[in-house]
Amino acid sequence: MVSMPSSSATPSCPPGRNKQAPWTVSRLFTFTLFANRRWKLLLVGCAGLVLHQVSEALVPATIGAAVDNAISPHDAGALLWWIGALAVVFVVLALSWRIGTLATNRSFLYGSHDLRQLAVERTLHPRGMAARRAPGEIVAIASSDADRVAGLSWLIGGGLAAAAGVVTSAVTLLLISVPLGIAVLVATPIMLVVMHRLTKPLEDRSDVEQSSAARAGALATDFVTGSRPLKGLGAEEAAVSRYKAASRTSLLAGLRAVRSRSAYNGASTALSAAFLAGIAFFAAWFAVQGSITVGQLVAVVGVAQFVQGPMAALGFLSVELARKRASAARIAVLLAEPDAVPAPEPKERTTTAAGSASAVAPLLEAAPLLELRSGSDDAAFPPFTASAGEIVGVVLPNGTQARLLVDTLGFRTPAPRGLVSIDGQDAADLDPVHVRSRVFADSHDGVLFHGSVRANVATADARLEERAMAAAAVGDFVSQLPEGTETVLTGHGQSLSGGQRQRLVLGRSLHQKQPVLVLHDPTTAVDTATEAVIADGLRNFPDKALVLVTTSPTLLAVCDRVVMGGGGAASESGTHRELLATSAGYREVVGS
Amino acid sequence: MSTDILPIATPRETRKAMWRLLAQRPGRLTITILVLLAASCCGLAAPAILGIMVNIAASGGDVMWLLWLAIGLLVAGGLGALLGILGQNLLARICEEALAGLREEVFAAAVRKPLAHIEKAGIGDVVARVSGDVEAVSEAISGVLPAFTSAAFTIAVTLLGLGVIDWRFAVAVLIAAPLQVFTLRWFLKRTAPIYRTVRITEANRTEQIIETVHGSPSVLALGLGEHHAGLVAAASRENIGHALKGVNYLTRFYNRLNLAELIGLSAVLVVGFWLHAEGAVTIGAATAAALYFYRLFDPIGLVLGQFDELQKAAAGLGRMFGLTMSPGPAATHAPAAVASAGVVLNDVTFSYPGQRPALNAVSLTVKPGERVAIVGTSGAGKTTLAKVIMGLEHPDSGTAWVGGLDSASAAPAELHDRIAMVSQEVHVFSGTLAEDLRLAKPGASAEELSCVLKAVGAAWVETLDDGLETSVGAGGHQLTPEQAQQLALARLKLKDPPIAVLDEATAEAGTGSATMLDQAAEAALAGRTSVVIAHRLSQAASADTVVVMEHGRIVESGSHQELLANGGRYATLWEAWNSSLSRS
Repeated sequence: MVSMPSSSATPSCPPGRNKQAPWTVSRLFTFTLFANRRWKLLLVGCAGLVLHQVSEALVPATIGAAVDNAISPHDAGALLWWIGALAVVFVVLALSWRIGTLATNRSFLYGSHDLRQLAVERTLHPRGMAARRAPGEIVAIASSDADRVAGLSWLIGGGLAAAAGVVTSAVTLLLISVPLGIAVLVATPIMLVVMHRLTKPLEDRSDVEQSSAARAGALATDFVTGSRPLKGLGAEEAAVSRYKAASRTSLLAGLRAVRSRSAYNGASTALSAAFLAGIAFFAAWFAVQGSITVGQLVAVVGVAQFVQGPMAALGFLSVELARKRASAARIAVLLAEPDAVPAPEPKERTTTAAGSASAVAPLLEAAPLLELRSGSDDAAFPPFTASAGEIVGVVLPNGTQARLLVDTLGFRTPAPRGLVSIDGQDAADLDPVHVRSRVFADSHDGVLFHGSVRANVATADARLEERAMAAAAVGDFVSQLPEGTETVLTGHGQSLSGGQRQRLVLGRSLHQKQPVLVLHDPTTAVDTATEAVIADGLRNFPDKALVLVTTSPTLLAVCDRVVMGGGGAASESGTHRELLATSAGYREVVGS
Repeated sequence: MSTDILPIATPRETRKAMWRLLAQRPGRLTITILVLLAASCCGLAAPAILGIMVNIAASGGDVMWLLWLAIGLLVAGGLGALLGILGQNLLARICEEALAGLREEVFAAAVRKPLAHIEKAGIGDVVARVSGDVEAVSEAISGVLPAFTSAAFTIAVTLLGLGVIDWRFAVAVLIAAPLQVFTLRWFLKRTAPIYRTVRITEANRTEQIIETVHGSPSVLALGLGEHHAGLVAAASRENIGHALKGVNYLTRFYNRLNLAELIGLSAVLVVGFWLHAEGAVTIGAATAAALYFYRLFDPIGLVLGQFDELQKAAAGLGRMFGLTMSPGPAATHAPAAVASAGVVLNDVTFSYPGQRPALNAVSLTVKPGERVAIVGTSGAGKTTLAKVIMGLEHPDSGTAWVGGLDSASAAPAELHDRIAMVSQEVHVFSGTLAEDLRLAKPGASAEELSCVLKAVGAAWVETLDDGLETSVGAGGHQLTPEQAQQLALARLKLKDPPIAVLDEATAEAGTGSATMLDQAAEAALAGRTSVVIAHRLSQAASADTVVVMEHGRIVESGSHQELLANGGRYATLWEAWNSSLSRS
């Protein structure tokens, strides 16, 4: 890689899109819980879930009361009364759960949505990202991680509800018998600690299981996605055996995870049996002594059974929270990713970030639309200017250099101070949106999007420009598509051939409003005859400055000026024919 | 979205196939079921013992008795725990092994499927089946199934226990059953289409994120950042709308189950009241019955609530089985007419559905060792020709003989011994560089790998920190397009077939890299019969024979010099190409 002298990018400048404070785990938690008036949903959700658990905890007590007051003394009236009470408890329980669930779920879905948008908007920030991420990684962050972090509302609602269930049970028990209530209150935290100890290995194992399952899945995706080259090579069976190996690894990890999970389940079953046995023994003893009634014994046993559910839920809280923290950390790292093109130090700016073209352009009317200087030691880029009506060819023998130049002009890579000026202003001082409103430079592998040919090339309802369509030589095949320009392209235009896709991308570039259009090897997938048509068509843009970064002789032949750089030698310039005649290096690069 | 060309197994077929997988070892399955039943019985001991304790409490008794009963509770709990551990492991072994076998079968079926088939169905659909569906099914099998099974056993055993106390308790509990069954059917019927829509809208959202992120340089260059963020937001909101509808039904579902619990519990209390009044059962037995039913709340909720998870998994299973059902390549072992390293196309015509012929009566002979370059404008049928030679598309009429085999009907393995292709799209398979290369020749030694890499001029491998063990592809070290294409050529050289097809394999080489890739191609093709879909005419000039195609027909063929002398189509193309290079 070629390193560019970096402009005054310093860490003092807050990275990422957000200028106030960096995104942290706790800020993301606050954001997902409270932002956009979600605190209301959280409040209603927690209230509903808490009320539900309290009612649930009252069910065994009500059963005990029914045994005591109705069944034991054979009182039919009391039975009706207690069944009525049970019905009231159930109505409250059902409605509160419903309200709590609906509110919490809303909070979860919209919280996840907002986190997803943060992640997507970060990847689309005009200043770009220093380290670009694979789409799959962004999808994982914007889907699973966003969901997991937003699930914090469930964690809080569920946690509070579980605590309320434990408290209600304890109060019920204390009302029946103080020693029994105290026993439950003491045993509960002990059980929580033991369960917490038990969950640790479980957590580790399930992570291993997940990652090896994910590896097998990724391998399958990769092989199927690459099935064309795979079949061209006849390597299907090799792929099958590699997948099989990954699948077996995943199987072993899965079985190991089941071993630890079942051990955990077993331990918790045994633990709760011990708890139940202790409570039942003392409660029955008290009942024999007459200090509690038979119905109260039933209630105590029922409550002791019930309370284990919320206790287990509390035991899992810390594991869940740790997962959410890890997900939030991944989101935070993405959001805090430094810009690919950092904003300049405020004092260095000669114009405000939002400096509009209209405000400054009149002063510098004489300046060329685009000028590339090679002031620095880095002589890889040949100096050139481009003004309206000109076609300038830029020849760089090294493909990496060519990509770097186009990325610099497209503001995807920082332009060192003094390298690029636009309308006479140093690009390093300008706002990316402003630069892109003057210079259009898509990358060589520009992609098509889901939508009609028209929407891709211009906009959905815009008129297609004849000269652009002609210069991109797309007329012939577009007219043969089932619905012409209204044909909807799917999956990056996979139904088209490589040459057709490339020509549509060229057509799209030629439709752009910017006065400077930079085209990077626009005809590599196009046949020679069509390339000649395209080269001819490029002459019809007298209102634009065209910069062709290419080694194609057909395209270079129509350039008004050609500059060649790279290779350490001093850059050369002239017309295509002059350079062919005078420069052996040039002949070698374009002639092949 | 997918056009569902790939079949989906019906629920009946899925059940049958699933049973076949699970019942591979009937003995182990039986033992597993017995262990799980025994574990549930241990769980049942608790309410029974508690009932006896209530009786002692009601009638007064010995504390020692209570102590023994408490120890009984403890022992039953411990035994239940041990049996539970054993049962869960046995169940997991059966299920996960069956699942692993299934996913391997599904993946093998997917990659062995004819390319035309995969592309018509949409690669996305196949990917979804081998990864998304496999994942969903695994999750259900390892996450839901164990809990579901033990809950179902608990319900069955508890009903039995209630019946043992008094059959009328069992009847009381079953009063609520019709409501539960009705609620479940109502829920599944209403939510099945909603969940399907939720899945589709979620897939759309993912697709939109991938498109936007993948194309982010273009998105930014075009100033479409906000527009694309809006597209993702719209897809996400649509998904949220459907998800909320699903949750709404879910809450109504559980509310109705609450009603069923209330009815069942009231019935048990009433029956207990009545039987106790009649003196048919003790107060302890009535209590035990109430507690039995009370502890059924969770298992019933779990079984009914997870039913839709299992149903979703069944849908995934149907899609997985569907992949294995659809016909694979018909491998007829037609004996090779002549075992040679040549390619002969006999009057081959081929059209894509609903389009004019992409190949129209094409006849072509490539002699062993000969290099033929195919030139022509894009859309002339060059790539289709390559696909027919490779057996990836089958001619409507006529035959393509490759090394003496009919490429349309030959067994893929035999055909691939004779021919390999490097296509225009570059794909770096994820894994290490060595793993990527060994796809071409699984047993290749490290020396062989270095040797082929050197031959195609991939000296950059030496500069990588981990050399051949460097992770490449998705998530690994990113290769440039030129490096990826060199890797593809190295795979070809390693595979070493007598016949090779290059479909514009060096086309993407833009600025500066053309010479390098031409040399790499030269090294990869040395000594092979080759068909080169030529992009730059310099490639055509070095071939033995040049074939010019137009509108699916061969319009000219001959050596470079002959065609120039004829002054036809090729001569015009050459003139255009060359004039841009002339110095005058």
